[in-house]
Amino acid sequence: MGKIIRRVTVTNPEGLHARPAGRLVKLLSGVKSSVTIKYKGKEINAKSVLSVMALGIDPGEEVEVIIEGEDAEQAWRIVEGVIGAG
Amino acid sequence: MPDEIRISVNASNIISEGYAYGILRCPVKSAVSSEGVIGLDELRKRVSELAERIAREYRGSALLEELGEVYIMILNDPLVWEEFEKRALMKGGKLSVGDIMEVRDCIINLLVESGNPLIMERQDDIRDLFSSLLSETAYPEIGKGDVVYVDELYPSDVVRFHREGIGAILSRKGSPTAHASILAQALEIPYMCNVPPLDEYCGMQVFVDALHGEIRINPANIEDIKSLLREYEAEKESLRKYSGMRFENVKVMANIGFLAEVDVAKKKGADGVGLFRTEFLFLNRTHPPTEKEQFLVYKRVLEAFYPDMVIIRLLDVGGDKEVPYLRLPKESNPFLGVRGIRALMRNEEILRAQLRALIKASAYGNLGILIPMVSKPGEVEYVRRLIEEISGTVDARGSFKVGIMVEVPSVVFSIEKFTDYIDFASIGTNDLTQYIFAADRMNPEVSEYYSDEDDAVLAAIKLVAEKMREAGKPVGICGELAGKRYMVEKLLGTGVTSLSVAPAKVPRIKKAVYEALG
Repeated sequence: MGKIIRRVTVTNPEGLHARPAGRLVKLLSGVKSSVTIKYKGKEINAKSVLSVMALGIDPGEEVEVIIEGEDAEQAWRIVEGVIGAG
Repeated sequence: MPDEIRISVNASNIISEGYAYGILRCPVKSAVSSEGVIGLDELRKRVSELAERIAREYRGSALLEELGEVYIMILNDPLVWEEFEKRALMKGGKLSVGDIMEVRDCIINLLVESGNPLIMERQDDIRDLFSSLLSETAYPEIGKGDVVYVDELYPSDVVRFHREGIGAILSRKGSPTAHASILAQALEIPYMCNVPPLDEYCGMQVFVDALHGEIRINPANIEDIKSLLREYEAEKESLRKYSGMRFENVKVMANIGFLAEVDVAKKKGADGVGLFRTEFLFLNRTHPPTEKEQFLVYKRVLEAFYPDMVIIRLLDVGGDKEVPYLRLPKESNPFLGVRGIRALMRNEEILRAQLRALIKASAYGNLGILIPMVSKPGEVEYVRRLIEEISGTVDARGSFKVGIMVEVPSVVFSIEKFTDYIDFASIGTNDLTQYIFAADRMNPEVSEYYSDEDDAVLAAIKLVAEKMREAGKPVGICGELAGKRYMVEKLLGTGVTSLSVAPAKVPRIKKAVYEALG
């Protein structure tokens, strides 16, 4: 079991609104690890598109990502790829 | 034959351009029956059927497919199912329509609580999905070529109307950033929103002019309209070859108001962005956007168009807009008051953050910074001073240009006082016209006085273009006037070096430039 806790700045210019949130959830559906996003005191399941959207994260904001599971590294690469996409 | 009725629609409500002539249809969605209960298994079955239908129908463009995918994800969202299961558990495994609506409202609440206007807008998608889940919405009376009038437009409606081959959409409500609007543009269905009530005209013949903003009920000259439509369609086919054209002495650029338009502008062949409005970043929120957020947005646009130029206008608001974090006086006449650069000078910290974000982003493309509502050279000197000061503290920056909007008559008549301080100028003909004629362009009472095609406006453009040419600096036009193709030849005659127009208009204006240069 791997566990990753990292802070990451959202550099996707669309923030984490509908389209990037959809992309994140779609890619994460292929991993087994649990993925949690912490933002402004809220903690949500990153595999729920509604939960991710409802955070309303604008570009430039920082979030904490907590990943737990056997394929944690792979999950992290997905998160980094979508959230940090320029 | 009943009389023709003409209803004008403000240009800002034209979401997707085009013409249509057909019967005005006012479909009513079948009401959701509030009776009956449904088991969880039955609900799962309905959801998977709906998901299959979406996967089948949302095809043909990347945007549509992406949207369909998000919908399917929402239908299968763990949060939605948690709520369904919770309610089913309390009621012996069965859900009433009321329970399902409660889940819907609970999700909508969640989006509203985000406080983010773009996310709040997504509640339309939720309403849309849940009503598709609960009722078979059928529009039996709609057919090819009809003009559809709805109260509110949902994305699934656009997809359905597209499949039916309807001619145009008119809606009572709406906004350019709604999914439905983006879809109508992508599918090239003429669409105008915020139109006046049309219920009394249902079933009548209607001509929709989503180019100039007019609805004609029972149009009189049907033959004229038919030939206009034929020409328009024929031309549409031939336009592609003009998109990629480039001209030596004149650029056809795009006016852009939010990020989603970047791709459209690229696709339509814009030679850069002549006007990137930044108001979308600032309006409808309680705090100003951070420097970082602005930087990421500016960087995206600059990179997308590199090596072409992207002219980004500093925030242009006045007392007519409610912006809680800006110090703006209450004024009886905000269009002759504190707006544009005048407002920014009173909110220097906002201006500083925007300039910093722009200067940082300048490393990623070919940037022009545009100062709005300039009326005195001192305003340009002031911005130049700030830029110099901020530039000293930013390490990674590129070179960039600084220009002004020419929209106040005082600038027209003393442009030579400005030329030393600016690298380019952009003539905003909408405001310039209203200031020249002293006629508010939003006020229908004085619309006869507002004419941007008048010789008075052309003389002003000519004056500015001549002085700018003498100074060896480029000058563009970025108002509605630049998008009127029958005016292109005249405008080029004034000596302007660029025309900046709505993305959808780029190919037509390129064609007009090609013909004018002959």
